Amino acid sequence: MNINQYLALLFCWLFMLNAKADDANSCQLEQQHVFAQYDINDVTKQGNKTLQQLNLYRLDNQVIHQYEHNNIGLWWTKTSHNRLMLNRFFDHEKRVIEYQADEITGSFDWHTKYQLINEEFLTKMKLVKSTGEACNTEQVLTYQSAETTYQLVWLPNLKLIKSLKVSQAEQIISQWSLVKYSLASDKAKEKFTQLLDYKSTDYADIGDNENDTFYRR
Amino acid sequence: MKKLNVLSLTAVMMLCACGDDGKNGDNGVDGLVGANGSNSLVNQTYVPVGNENCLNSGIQVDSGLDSNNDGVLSESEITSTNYLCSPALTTANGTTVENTKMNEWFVGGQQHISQALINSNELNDAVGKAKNVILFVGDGMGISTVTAARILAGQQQGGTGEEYQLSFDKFPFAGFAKTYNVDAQTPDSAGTMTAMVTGVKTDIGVLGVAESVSRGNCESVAGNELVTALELAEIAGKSTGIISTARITHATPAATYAKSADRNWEDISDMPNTAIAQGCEDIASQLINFEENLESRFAGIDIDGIEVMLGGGRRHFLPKDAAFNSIDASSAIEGDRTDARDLTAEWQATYPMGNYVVDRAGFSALDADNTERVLGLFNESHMHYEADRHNDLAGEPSLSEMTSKAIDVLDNNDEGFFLTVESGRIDHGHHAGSAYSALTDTIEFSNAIEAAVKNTNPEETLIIVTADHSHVFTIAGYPKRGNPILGKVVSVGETEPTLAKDNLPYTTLGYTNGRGFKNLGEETDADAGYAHDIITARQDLTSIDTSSPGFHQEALVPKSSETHAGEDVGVYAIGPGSHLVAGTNEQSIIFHIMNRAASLANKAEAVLN
Repeated sequence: MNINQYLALLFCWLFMLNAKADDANSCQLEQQHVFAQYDINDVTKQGNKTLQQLNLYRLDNQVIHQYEHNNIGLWWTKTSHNRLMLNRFFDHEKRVIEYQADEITGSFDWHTKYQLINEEFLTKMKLVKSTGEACNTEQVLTYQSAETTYQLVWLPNLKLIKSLKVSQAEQIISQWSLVKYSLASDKAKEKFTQLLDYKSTDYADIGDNENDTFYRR
Repeated sequence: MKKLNVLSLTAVMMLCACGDDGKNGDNGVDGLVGANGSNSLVNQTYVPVGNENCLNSGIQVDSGLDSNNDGVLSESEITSTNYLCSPALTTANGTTVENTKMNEWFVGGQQHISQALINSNELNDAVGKAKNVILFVGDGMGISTVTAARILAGQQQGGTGEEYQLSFDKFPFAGFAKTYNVDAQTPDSAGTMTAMVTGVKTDIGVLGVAESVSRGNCESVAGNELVTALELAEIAGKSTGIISTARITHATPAATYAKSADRNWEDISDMPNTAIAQGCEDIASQLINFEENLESRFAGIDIDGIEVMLGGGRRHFLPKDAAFNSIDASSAIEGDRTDARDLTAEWQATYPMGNYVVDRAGFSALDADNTERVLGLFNESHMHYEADRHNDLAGEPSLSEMTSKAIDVLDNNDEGFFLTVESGRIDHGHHAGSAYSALTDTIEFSNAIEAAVKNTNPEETLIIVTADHSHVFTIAGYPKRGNPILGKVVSVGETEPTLAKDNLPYTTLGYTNGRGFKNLGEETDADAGYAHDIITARQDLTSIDTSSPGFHQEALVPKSSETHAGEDVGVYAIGPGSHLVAGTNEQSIIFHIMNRAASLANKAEAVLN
């Protein structure tokens, strides 16, 4: 291989590396505007099975969790001052109730809202294998506690759970499955735009609005 | 009963002859046998202290003839009543009396009466004597809140608490206000504050308009607008100011400047399209346009607008556009206005000498002596609870600081001023079921009143302190003297909490309804409780520190938010005209007391004519 061939090969290699980095960066941007839908199968101690469908919407520093069967949704905003503001919205009534922003500490874990799994827990999990590239990168991770086994298929560049199995005594007690998702999602933008048009009230003001039948409930 | 038997007499006639004695005549015929006479009876009855004939107690002596001979002196038989009264304690001697006279409660009571006599002798009843008027409103500060806050404040200073006096406990005159709205037994702040600042009771939920208005109906406002004390003061040439720890567009402050068919029309996005189309103006816009609006209602007047406006509620003044976010915005988009108006910019354009501040640093930098006017909006929504104020990102001034600064700005006018100060979050603390928050805000409210007393001349400043309504907040059980007011009931002579019939301890403070028990530890934001479930079942409080900021008291009836209550509230006053605060009255007389003391209507009329 002469020097020119060597340089050409190096250039191609660097180009590929750069293209991969661009893909990853692209994922990083696209995953900020996401709509994702999950099926959640839970099994109670009595053996009863329940199926719920959870919709996850992300738009920059805002996240919505809404169960399909439920009129009520949770809408979190991470403010520029690293505080978390919670709103509850009610689609049927087109109303929003606002809570005062609080510091993101303790139970106010932003990652749990944003990607449905605690970041610290993720780092504790053992990487079993990694496949795919860029947006399609998948990681299989496991974690074993005294009684419980977790098996996670994680999309690290999208910050999405693909699947999660939680087992105890070889019985699956909870199983999450990503049914569908869209990146750079218009659906997410539409959802947040829709909420801005709902009538909003501070929770502190509900007591002064007893004549409003919505608040009375 | 003692009986005095007296001789029963028959009639005896003695004949008297003149001249020599003659011979003795024959004995005459025996007269008729006389009937037995009646016994005379005397009754002695002890009369206690306070009897109108014996103020210091004594013996009542009734006497008369037992005409029916039943041995009892009945009412109809009494022909004479006399009293043998005990001497007055103040003039008597002896160990028993000395024990009473030297007792500290007795001495304190005498001193209080002496002071009350001085106060009444020095009454200043001249109409218009009050150059300045300050109306302090503790939103939701019912009697039980005042009592509990007093005890907490005293205990925070190392005392047992009950004997402590909040600043306004020391005011010379006080009475009660009946708080009901025209259409509601238990009221809200809109109707009650309208009554206090206009002299006219009205419906629940409406601002500055008479009861003929229909809530939520824009068209019904026309013809029902009332004139407020703040507006009269403005026309009379006084400086004016409004302070609230709630949003400045919230019901209590808004009642002083706005006319609205609904208290919730705080900005245009809160209004129905029909109301907008019919020309009704949202509350925030009414505040910014106050001068222009008042001048249009009273032809020929030339006022200079409200000089001091301090509170929360930026969201209602800013467009719904993230580009207008303030430095400590909570929401992704702070402003709510859907008409693209930036009212803070409009205000600054109208009043180029005015100061718009959004944080503690801007507020502290104000030189009051050289400040013509100030608009301070310190939070997107309500300002923080006093206990939680340290958590504000950009920093907020306290209610005391705002009150002092406001007076320093307003007293630049030789004609005097009218100022209303609302502690808006006492109400919110109670709604959240957090006695800690409600009481710590009440203590700061008391501090603000004390600051006002110190910063004004009592001979020319009428200060009235009251509440708009009460809450279902109780002080219960039989805790011993000095028992921590936020603690569990420990009975007299005991050291461990008293147990209820369910063998569980219970707190002195509680709520009749609301969200009930929460144990949030050191959390100082009472509204954090709203993110937790309603719990009204009895809880085992044995190992729980009920005096911690995050403890929410147990409640009986589950509700999404604790409610107002309908009993009377206290009214406390000092300064010219304060003696008119006496007895139990309609809440609307507060306006009339302020109006008479400062001659607001007369002075305004003089300007108009």
